Formats: sequence, structure tokens, C-alpha cells
Amino acid sequence: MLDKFIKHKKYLFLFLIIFLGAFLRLYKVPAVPPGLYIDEISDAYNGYEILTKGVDEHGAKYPLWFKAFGEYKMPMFVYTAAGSIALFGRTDFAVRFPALVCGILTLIIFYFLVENLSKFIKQKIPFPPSSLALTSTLILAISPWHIQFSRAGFDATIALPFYLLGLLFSILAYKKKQSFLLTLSFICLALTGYSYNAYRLFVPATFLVIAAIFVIKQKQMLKGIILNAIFFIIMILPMVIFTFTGAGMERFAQTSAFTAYATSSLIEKIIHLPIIFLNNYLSYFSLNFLFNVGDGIGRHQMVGFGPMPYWEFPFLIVGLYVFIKNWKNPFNLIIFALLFAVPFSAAATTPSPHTLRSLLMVIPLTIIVAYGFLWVMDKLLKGKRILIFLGIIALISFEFIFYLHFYYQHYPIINSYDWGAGYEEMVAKTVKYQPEFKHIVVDHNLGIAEIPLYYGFYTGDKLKPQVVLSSWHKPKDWEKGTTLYIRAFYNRNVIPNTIDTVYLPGKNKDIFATFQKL
Amino acid sequence: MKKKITRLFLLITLEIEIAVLAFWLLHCKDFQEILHVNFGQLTLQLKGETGQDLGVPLLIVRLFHNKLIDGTLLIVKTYFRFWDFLFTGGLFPFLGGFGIMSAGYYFFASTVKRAWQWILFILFLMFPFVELFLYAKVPFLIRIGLFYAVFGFISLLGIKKFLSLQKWGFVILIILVAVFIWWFAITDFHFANLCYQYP
Repeated sequence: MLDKFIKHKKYLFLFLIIFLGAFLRLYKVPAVPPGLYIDEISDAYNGYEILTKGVDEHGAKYPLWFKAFGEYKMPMFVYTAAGSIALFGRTDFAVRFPALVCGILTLIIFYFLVENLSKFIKQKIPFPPSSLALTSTLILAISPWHIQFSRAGFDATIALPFYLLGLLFSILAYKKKQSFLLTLSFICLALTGYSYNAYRLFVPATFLVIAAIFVIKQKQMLKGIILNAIFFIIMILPMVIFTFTGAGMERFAQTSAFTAYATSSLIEKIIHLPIIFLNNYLSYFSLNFLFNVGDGIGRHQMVGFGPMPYWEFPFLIVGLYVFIKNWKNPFNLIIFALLFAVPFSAAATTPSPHTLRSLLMVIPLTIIVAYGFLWVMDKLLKGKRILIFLGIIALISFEFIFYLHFYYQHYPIINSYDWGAGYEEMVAKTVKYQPEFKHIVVDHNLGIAEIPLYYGFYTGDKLKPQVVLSSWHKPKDWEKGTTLYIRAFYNRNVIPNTIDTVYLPGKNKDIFATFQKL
Repeated sequence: MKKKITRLFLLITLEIEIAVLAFWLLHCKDFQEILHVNFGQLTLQLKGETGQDLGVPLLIVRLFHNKLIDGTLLIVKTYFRFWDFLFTGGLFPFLGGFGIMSAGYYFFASTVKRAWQWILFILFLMFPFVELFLYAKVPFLIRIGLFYAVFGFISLLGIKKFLSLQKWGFVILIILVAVFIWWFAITDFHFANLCYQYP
């Protein structure tokens, strides 16, 4: 009965879930989270420069790697941002648009991935396979982990749908035995590699696993597999070569968890590094990380909230139990492989655990939670324990609305400084006062590296103020009253000749910047 | 032969657990406050939260910011912190942790569950509450002793069951023992985050 109902209405349910997911990702963007943070403004400015001049901020023509803050970033976000800036202009919404689209696309791809993967479930399950795909998509649609990263310009959000699409095409290629689908899969995987640094190792590893499965299980496709493998290697070759160059290694050197032992002897490294790695690896499965506080970085989750809501915990335990019990099932093996493989590359970096680098973990975890949820619901509904069922739904709804209240009401206030709240207003006010002043200088405490990017992006390179240290004194030959000095944080009562102030969100009116006439 | 191997591993697990317990007793005065529930700051926290609710209907403010919600969340957070890998992984040897997971798995997997198994399961789930709420009344020595008694017993049961059902289970246990000795020799068990050390 339920099977038939879901079969006929599944696309209607899917549409409603995607609509809910899209609403949760689009509502009040870009006001919440407030302002573009440092990486977003870097991508935005580079995107704008690429669009208008065909060069990045350092003058490199259509580069494959973007130099930013002493490291190199993957190109996908910058080029997609260039496209959306062309569509929507130099706005915060334009910068976040690629992530928003990818966040919504992830939900659609995820549905078809789980539905196709479900066909590998060999054990007898008490619910129709389509309901697992629908429930998983619904849980992902309301997942704080995925919502958080879909609403702002994170490279990882762009990478996720490409990776899932790569997996989906490889499953379809396996089932339909078509080399063309394998080609699409490898193209998507290669694009994932060019989207986010954390996938630089993960993508080649995924390719090797997929290629090995095809070579062993689909021998009749051998010619196609070899051709596709060569095609994939050609596609990712620039990335692999870059990874082993000095510039490519910079990111790893900056974030390596083993930096403290860089100069140690080999024996010392052999003794200590595996334990550091093990510690970091296990931290990704810590309850404190998953449910309590996340990684503690304000941009990655709200203060006092983990990436997973508490209601998911009992279903995660039930799901894990059912998965372990049937661990030889191909479906369960794939989900487990994904779950335990994701933290491998992230565990070699610091800080660990890290919510963004482990974003892919949300996929297997959501499927396990959905599995546990359906398992419990089936038992409850069969036992006609409707009241308990309704109670659980009420609790889930309450926790979700509680989360939304904090997200829209408290988060923009508490974590405004983790984002770039204040910069857009500061630039707008500078533009307003510019005609009255001959010199404009900005205190370096407002961000020595990012100030030129904010001014460059919001004014279209029309205004380039001088960035100075806090100890700066006005040169004697500058006439009195001709200098606008934009200072960080200071209370306007303390500073004489303050002409304007930029406040952070909230009724406390915390000062972001003051405009002083010198 | 199988019985001998099982006995050997039970003995090794027990000895490792005693060694780690002794290590904790020698180094640690008490656990840090992050593992203790303290309602003292709830009023301040509520004031801070409601202060940010400018323009929000009073009903919603009262619904989401009250002592019941914040107090429950505090208990849940502290309870989850207790089960953090970095805590239990430091406090209790992960060889024992593996035994506990194994016991849990076989408990759920068995169709017939006896009364004593249920009692142990409930004791296991309830145990963190001793630390969460009775930290001021029960001395550290008794708290950690109780912890080891309950967790140690369950871990031994789990390892016994694991070895009886898994043919090559002892290979996994040998690897776990080796990794544990390695771990034990070079880490400081996150002392700074977990406990007040003796000066």
C-alpha cells in the first residue's frame, strides 16, 4: 500500500522536499549570514577581475589556480562567481549564487544517488527503496550542516554536487554497462578536484576505487574503462602536477597537522605522527563535534550548535546497528566506505575536526540516519503506536524551528564578526564621503589583506584607499581636514572629529569602524 | 586452546584497564567543569539570549528561551561531552572501548535479552549522570572507581563474546593492544582538557 503510494507520488514528494530545501537555502540571503567573509570576497574580487579584465588580482591571465592570502585556491568557485556577477552585478547575492544553486542541486542529485544505490540493498528491508531516497533527501534538506554551507560562498559546497554526480554516473554506468556514462562520471570527478582543495587526494582515490570495481566486475567494458581512465588522468594531470609543486604544497604546509614534527628525526616522526593522525581521525566521529559544538569556527556553525541536530542521534545509532548487522551488503559497504574515507584527508590537517573539510560526511551520515528513522517508524506504525510517532515528529519539528530561530535571529548578531558584516556599509560610506576628502586611509586592523578586496569589489576598482598601521600619523604636508581616517572598533566618544560610524548588527551597537576627519 | 586465548585477552584487557586507572589516580585530582552540570549561569545566559530577540513576539521568546529548554540542553550537551572520543578515549583504554561496543552490538543483536543485561545496559547509559550531577557530593576516587567497575565489566563481557563468535577476532585484539601501548606511551590523554592535575 505504502509502496504503491510512494511509487506514484514520489516525484510530487521530491518536488515538495526540493521546494522546502530551496526555501531554507534562499530565504534572507545574503542578509543572513551577514556580509561576505574573507574567502568570499577574495573569490568575488577575482571573479570580477576575470570578468572585466580577464586577469586575477595579481595580473595572471585566466589562471587555473588563484593566489590568495599566501596560498592557491581552486578555480571553480572564482569562474562560477564571475558568471553570476555578470548576471546579478557586484552584489553579495551574486557571490553566493553559485553555492546556493549547488546546494539545491545537491538535494536533487542526492535523491537519485540514494535511489539508485538502494537497488544494491540485498537484505529484506521493511520499507520501499524510494522512501529511503525521499527520507534521506528530506533530512539533507533540513540538515544544519548542509544549510550552513549552502547559504554562503564555500568552495566545498560547489564540489559536493560534482562529486555526487560523479558517483551517480558511475552507478548508472555499472548498471547500464555504458562507457559514455563512465566518461560523464570521470568528468564530474575531475571537476570536483578543481573545486576544493580537500578533494585533491580524495578524487584520485575515488577514481582508483571505481576503476578497480569496473575492471573486476565489468570485464566486457575493459576497452571503455581504459580509454576513460586515460581521459581522466589527462583531465586531472595539471592538478596532480600542481599538487606536487611548491605552490601546490603551500596549502598543505599551512594546514598540516604534522608541522610541529617537520624537523624531527624519522624515528620521532614514525612514533608521533600516526598517533596525531589517529587522534584527528577519531575526532571526526566524536559526539561533541557532531552534535554539541562542531569545530568551534563561527562561520561553520552557530555557537552551541553542532552540525547535526540532536534528534538525529537515536536514529543514527539504530541506523548504524542495522548497517553493521548487514555489513556485507554492497549498499552498506559503499556507505561505510564513504563515511570512513572522508576524514582520512581531513585528519592530516589542523584544526581537526573541521566541519567544512568533512562536509562530504553529511552524505553517508544522512543516509544512515534516514535508514534508522524509517526502521523505527516502521516498527512504531506496525505496532500502531501513533502517539509515539507523533511525539517524535513534534520533537523533530520543535528542534528544527528552534534552530531556525537561532539562525535567523541570534546568529547574525553573535557571529557577525566571523563574517564580513560592516564592510559593505563601510565602503558605501567611504564612497559617500570621498568627494569631501583628498586622502583616504584605512586602519590595518580592519584586515590588511582584505580591505583592498572589499573596496575593489564594491566600488568596481574605483576607490583604492591606503591601508596604514594603527601607529600611523598624518604626514605634516597633508592639509588639515583633508584626510578621512577609517579606524577599527574605536568608541566614537573617544575619538575627536568622528563624522560617522559603522555598527555591527544587534541592539548593543558594537562599533565596526569609525570615520575620523583629520 | 580457544578458552586459553579468551582468558589471555581478558587478562590483558583487565591489566590494561587497571594500569590506566592507576595512571589517572596518580595524575588527576578531579575532572574539569566541562563534564559537570552547573545551572548557575543559566539566568545570565537567558538574559543574553533574550537581549538579542529585539522585535520577536514575546510568545516565541518565552517558548525558546526558558530555563527548561536551556537546562535540558545543558544536560544533553554535557552528557554528549562525556561520550566524546577524546574523553572516553583518554579516560578508558580503547581496547576496553572496543569491548563495550562489541557488548552493545551483541546485546542488540540477541533476540533474548535477560534482566541482568538490561540492568547493565541502563547502568551504562545512566552512569555519566553520576559525574554530571554528583561531582560535588561523591569523591573523585569513588566516581572513577565506579566508572571503571561498570565500564570494565561490560568491556570484558564484550571481548569474551567477540572472541567466542569471531574466528579471527584475536588478530584484531592483538592490533588494538599494540596500538594502545603505542598510544599510552606517547600521548598525555588530553589531561589539560579533562582533569585537574596534581601540582
